[in-house]
Amino acid sequence: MQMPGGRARRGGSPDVYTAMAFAAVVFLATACVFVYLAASKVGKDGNAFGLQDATQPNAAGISLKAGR
Amino acid sequence: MHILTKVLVITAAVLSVFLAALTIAYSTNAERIVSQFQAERNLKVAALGALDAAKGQAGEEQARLNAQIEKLYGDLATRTADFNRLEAGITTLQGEKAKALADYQSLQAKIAELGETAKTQANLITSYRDEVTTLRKNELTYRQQALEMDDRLSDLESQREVLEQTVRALQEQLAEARTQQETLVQGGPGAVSATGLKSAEPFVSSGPLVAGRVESVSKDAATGALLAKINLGSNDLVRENQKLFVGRGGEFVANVVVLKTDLKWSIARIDTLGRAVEVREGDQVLSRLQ
Repeated sequence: MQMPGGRARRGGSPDVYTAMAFAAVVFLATACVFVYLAASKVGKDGNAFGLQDATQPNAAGISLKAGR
Repeated sequence: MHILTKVLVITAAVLSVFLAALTIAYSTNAERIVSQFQAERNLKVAALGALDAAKGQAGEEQARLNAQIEKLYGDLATRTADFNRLEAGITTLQGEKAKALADYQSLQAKIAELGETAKTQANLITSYRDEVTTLRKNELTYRQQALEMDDRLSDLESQREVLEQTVRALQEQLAEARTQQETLVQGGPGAVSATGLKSAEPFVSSGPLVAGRVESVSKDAATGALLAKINLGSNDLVRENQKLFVGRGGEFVANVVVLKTDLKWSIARIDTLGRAVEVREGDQVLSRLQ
């Protein structure tokens, strides 16, 4: 058992988990970028985090009046 | 665990959170956009349906409007024709108006001229009236003078007749005296004294030549002798028992002997001297043969 006040243990060396984490970060970053770009396209005013209005378009203004 | 691994894990966790947020936002926006898109599509369909209905109505309205336009074109053509006709009428009326104005001015001039003429004639009439008044006054004066002259003339006529009667009486006395003188000179039967009665033999007047006409020829019922009325009387110095001569066309016809005299006519007995002649109305009668 490691008691407090002793010397710090030395950290481990990068292993496969590090590589996997690195790959996960890379893929996550890539995914964030792609999603960010896509979200920017669909986001309100080009903001990726902006939400569109939930109101439905009004059909009343679209009624075509017959000529007089 | 290596520090790098920790860093990577933390980074991965942060990126996961970030990714989750982005995914949430993206999915929400995508869902909303899809619903809005669907709604828009529905609206589009409804709008297309409304558009078709509107097109149908517009077509009908257009047809109605076209018909109305045609009708209006027809009315416009009619109005245009009426307008042209009225313009022509206006032109004609303007011409007639100009002509009427000219006639009016001409009539005004004529009226003025006639007015002047009337004034002149009024002046003439006034002068004629004055002249006629003067003439009438003069005529009255002349008539009065004429009446006075007629009265004077009547008086003179009366005097003249009296004098003529006196002259005639004196002439008759003179003719009687001459007849008696001639009878005395001839010495025939029936001679009378100078105091004068009519001689039995007809005598021919030696006085001035007297000419007349036979007015009528009749037969005496008592004696059956032919009698002639001649237009010579005592005013013409014809006396009873005077012989006159009847001629026709310059030829001697018969003798007539005066039986009765009046002032302007006489009755004489026709003596044809045994010839087959006839005394007619209008035959000339002379106191002696020329």
